[in-house]
Amino acid sequence: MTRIEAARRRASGAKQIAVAAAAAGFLATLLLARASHPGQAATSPSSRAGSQSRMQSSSSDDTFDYGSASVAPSSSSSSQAQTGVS
Amino acid sequence: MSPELRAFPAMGVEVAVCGASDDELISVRRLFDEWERVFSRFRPESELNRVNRDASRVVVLSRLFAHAVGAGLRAAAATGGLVDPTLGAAVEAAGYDRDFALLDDDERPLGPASRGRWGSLRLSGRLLSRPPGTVLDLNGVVKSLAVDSALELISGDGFVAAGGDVAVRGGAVIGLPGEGTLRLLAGGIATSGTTKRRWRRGGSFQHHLIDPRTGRPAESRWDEVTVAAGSCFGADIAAKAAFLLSDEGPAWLDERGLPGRFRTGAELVANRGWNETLGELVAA
Repeated sequence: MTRIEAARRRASGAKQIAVAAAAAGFLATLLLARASHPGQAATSPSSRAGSQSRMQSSSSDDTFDYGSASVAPSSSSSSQAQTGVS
Repeated sequence: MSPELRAFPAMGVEVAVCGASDDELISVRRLFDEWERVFSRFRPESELNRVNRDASRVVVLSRLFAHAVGAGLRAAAATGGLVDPTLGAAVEAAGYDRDFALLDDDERPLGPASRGRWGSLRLSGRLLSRPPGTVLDLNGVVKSLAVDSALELISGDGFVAAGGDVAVRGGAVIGLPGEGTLRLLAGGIATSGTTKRRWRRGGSFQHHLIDPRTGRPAESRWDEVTVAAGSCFGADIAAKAAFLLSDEGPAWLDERGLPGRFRTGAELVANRGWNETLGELVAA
C-alpha cells in the first residue's frame, strides 16, 4: 500500500466518522425537539415528594391551576407573619 | 410540634418558621441552604451560573434545577410570558449585578435591553435546550417554590414566610403591606412590587421586576400587589403578572378567581375577589 493510498483510507475513515457523528447529533436534536415543546414543564421527579405533589396539582400550561386560598377577614392588630416586598 | 416562631437568614431575606419540630426546622434550613447554593445569581459556583456559563446548546440539569425550570416554564405559560425565566441578562443590564446590599448609585447608562425568550427553551426531563446567549434567572419563582416545599416538611399546622412570601397550613394572621391584616387558613400569599429593591442607574431609579415585553424594569401604576392563592407559588406568579399588567391587573386576577390588593402611594385598591372575600376597599 502506497502512502497516498494509506492517506486516502485515513481520510475516508475520518469522513465516515464525521457523517455518523452529524447524523447522531441530528437525531438527538430531533428527539429532543419532539419530546418537548415551548413552555412544557419538566416531568422530572422532585427530590422531595411533597413539593412534587404540590407542583403536579398546580400544573401545566394554559390549564395552570392557581388554587384558592382559604382566607378570612381579621380584626387583629398584631400579625404572626408579614407579606410584603422583599 | 412547636408553636414557637423561629427565624434564620437565607436567600437574602429572613425566613420565619412556625409549627416545626426541631428536626423539621433543621430540614427547612437545609432546604433553603441547598436552594440558595443552586439558584444564587451571586455565587459563581451555583448551578444557575454554571448553566449560564455553559456554551453548549443542551445541558444536563440537576433534578432540583430541572424542577425549578419546569415551574418557571409553567409560570410563563400561565401568565402569557409575563413571568419569564430568561430575564437574567435584562436584570443585569438594569444594574442588579451583585448582591442587593452592595448596590450603589451608578451613573453609567443601562446595558442593552434583553426581552424574554422563554418560548425558545425546551425542557425534557433533565435536558434543557436553549439558544446561545440565553441567561436564566429563576429567582422570580424560586423563593415561593422553596416556601411551599418547606411547608411540606412540617407535619402539622404551621407556616413558612420568606421575605414576604408566605405559605400556611392551619391558620395564621398575616400582616399586609401598609396596613391591615387577614387570616389565612390555608394556601399562600405573596406581594410583588418595587418599594424595596430599587437602585439608581443611569440617572433614574431601576427595580428588579423586568417587563419581558421590553426587557426593561416595568412601568406600572402600582407600587405593590398582594395576592392570595392555593399555594405561595401560585400567589407569587399571579402577583408579579398583575403588577406588570398595571391597570389590567385587577381584572386579570378576577378572571382567575384570585383576590388581590393593590397599593399605589397611600391609596389601597382591591379587585372584586378581594372585596367579596375580605371586605370592601376601593374597587379597582
